Amino acid sequence: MSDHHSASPSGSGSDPHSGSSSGGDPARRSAHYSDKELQEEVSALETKSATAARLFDIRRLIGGLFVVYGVIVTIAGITASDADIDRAEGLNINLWTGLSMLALGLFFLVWLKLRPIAPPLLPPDATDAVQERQQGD
Amino acid sequence: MQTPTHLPAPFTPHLTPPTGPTDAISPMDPTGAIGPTDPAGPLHLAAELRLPTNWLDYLILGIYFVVVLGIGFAARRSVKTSLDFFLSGRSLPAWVTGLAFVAANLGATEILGMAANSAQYGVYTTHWYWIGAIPAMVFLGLVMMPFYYGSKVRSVPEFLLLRFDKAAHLLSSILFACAAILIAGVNLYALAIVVEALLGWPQWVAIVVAGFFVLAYITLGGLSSAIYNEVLQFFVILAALIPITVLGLRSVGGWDGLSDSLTKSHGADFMTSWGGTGIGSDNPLGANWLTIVLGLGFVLSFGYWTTNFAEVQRALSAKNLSAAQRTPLIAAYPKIFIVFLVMIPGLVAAVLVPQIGTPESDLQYNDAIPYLMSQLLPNGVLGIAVTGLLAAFMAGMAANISSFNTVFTTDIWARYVVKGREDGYYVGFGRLITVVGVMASIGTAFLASSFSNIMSYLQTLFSFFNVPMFVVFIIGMFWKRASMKSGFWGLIAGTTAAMVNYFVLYKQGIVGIPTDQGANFVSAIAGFVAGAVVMVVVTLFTAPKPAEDLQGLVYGTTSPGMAEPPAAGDDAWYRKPALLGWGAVILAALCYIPFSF
Repeated sequence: MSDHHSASPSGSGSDPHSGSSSGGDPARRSAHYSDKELQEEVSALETKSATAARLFDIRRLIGGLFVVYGVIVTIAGITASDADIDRAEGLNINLWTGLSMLALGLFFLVWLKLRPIAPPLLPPDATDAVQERQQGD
Repeated sequence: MQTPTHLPAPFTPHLTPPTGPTDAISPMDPTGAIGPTDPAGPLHLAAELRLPTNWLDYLILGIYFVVVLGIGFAARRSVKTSLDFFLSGRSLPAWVTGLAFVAANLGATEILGMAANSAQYGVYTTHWYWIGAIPAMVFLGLVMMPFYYGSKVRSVPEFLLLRFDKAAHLLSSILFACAAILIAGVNLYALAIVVEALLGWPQWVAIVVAGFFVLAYITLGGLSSAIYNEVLQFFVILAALIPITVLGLRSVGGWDGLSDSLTKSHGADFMTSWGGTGIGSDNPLGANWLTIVLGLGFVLSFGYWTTNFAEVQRALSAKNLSAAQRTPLIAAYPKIFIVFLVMIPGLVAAVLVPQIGTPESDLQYNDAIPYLMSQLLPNGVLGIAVTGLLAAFMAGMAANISSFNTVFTTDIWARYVVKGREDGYYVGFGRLITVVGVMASIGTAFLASSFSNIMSYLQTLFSFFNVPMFVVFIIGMFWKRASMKSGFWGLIAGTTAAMVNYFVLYKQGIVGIPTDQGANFVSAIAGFVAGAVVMVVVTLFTAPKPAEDLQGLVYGTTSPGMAEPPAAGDDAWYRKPALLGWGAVILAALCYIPFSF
């Protein structure tokens, strides 16, 4: 159970991505389990990964869904009968929930408009800022 | 790996054998009509909980299902390598992985279970959040994530492979894979029960429909699909819980009205976090402050949040080390406040139905939120609430499936069975094993409906495995000398000790612990201590891992992955992990103040 390869990982402070260019196809798997080989394999896969370039922006989807839900529920609130309102402790809960969902949906769409995802080669995570400020509240 | 690991399953759909419909008594009758109650226990979800849904609610639900599938199809084109399929190419922004991190835990069993906990034990529920989650999440982000993310491992078991040996790796991989399927199945079965009660769908229809949707979107888009659905679910579940909480509070005269009536009916300790938890004093939770802090706050919670791959996987998919560190820290802030959205409905239910959970009422503790939905929500918001609940069930299952397929493919199949194939093969295999995993969960769900006790024992058993995982990680990360073999033996010893304490000492009545909850805390502590002792002893007699193989895996060493430069803007003050982390800890501590005196 000790057939690990004792290759010296790191230490040299070399760029982990440089390993991907040397020798064969590093994305091919081997039965290794040394730290260095794992780093090389994952780094090689990272350079080929398509997620950053091709995955759509979730903000568009949250924004779209919440705008649709917001409109539907707000309409249900505007047309609410007295019985509905009595049921909800005298509060027009559909109206308030609908408007809040609409506002959240619009927030995401505006955020997307103001801070679109940068081209994949230059990944500044400026978009994190707004959300984190919101999360941190 | 959601509920049972840190929450000793107050939501136990499998423990109550279904009895015939007993809709003769109105549960709303506060005079407590004594009816023919079945000694085997009342119906799990009372028949009166059928919601008055109409076309509007189904329209809202239908839109959601379409969007879920749409995410799968849209994410499909981003899957090129196995890293895309299993870890979203390590490229997601921190706010996305952070919300997915909290949503993966916010399954429906957690929501219904914590509301039940509150209806039964009161404000003690806050412990599962403020001490039972926040410190561990902050520890994961600040201390452990540099090792996890920097070493570029793709799963939690893979870290054990690098730090210890194949025995520890294989053991933890197999146990994790089995536990993930089991818990996905239990989630599915819980969903079927709730959907049957609320919407009237037959159980098998709910199981097959939910199973199909989870299968479709994970097979198509991999982890990206799962994470995007979790982010969406996070917002939908908030949109469902906030109206329930607001209306619930109004119906009992606000917080003051709630507090007054519960103090009158349940005593003053019911509305405090720490009242009655002195050592030797009696409280309904059956735990004192020491077992709460050590058992729940330290061992159980650290075991769950820092070594459960269904959670850690979300952080590993972040785009750089800074984002990975911030994943659990961003998740901590919503987690601090979500407790109010599950606790208040539970407390309100305890006021509106004073007999809840007793044989005098058809309603059990688990019915708290469904009961308020049926009583308070008009069509429209009701549809949102139903959608949120179903979304939470599906996300709870999907988190387990998406971590299962990763561990099964990268840790078991690619490492021990079919080695050295091209990357595309493993993407294909990952899709195949996702289908197999969902089918197995569906099978587990049907099994759970017939062999409920076996399932509940299995759940408890797996939950004890997280405890020694944490010991092995913590000792392995901080003690260079810990030998290769000590990992495996620490896992075995810790699991055994926790199980012996729970199933032999507690269940046979050899030591007196008042409740399952208390016994769970004590068992966790026993498992932790045993695992640590065995690791130290084994280390003293076996060879250490060569120092050059420990780079980046042990405290005080660095790996090339850690040297990656932070992205532009990561040095902004509000993105400093230390500030975010300590901010969350302080905020959680402050939240305790109003509930401590």
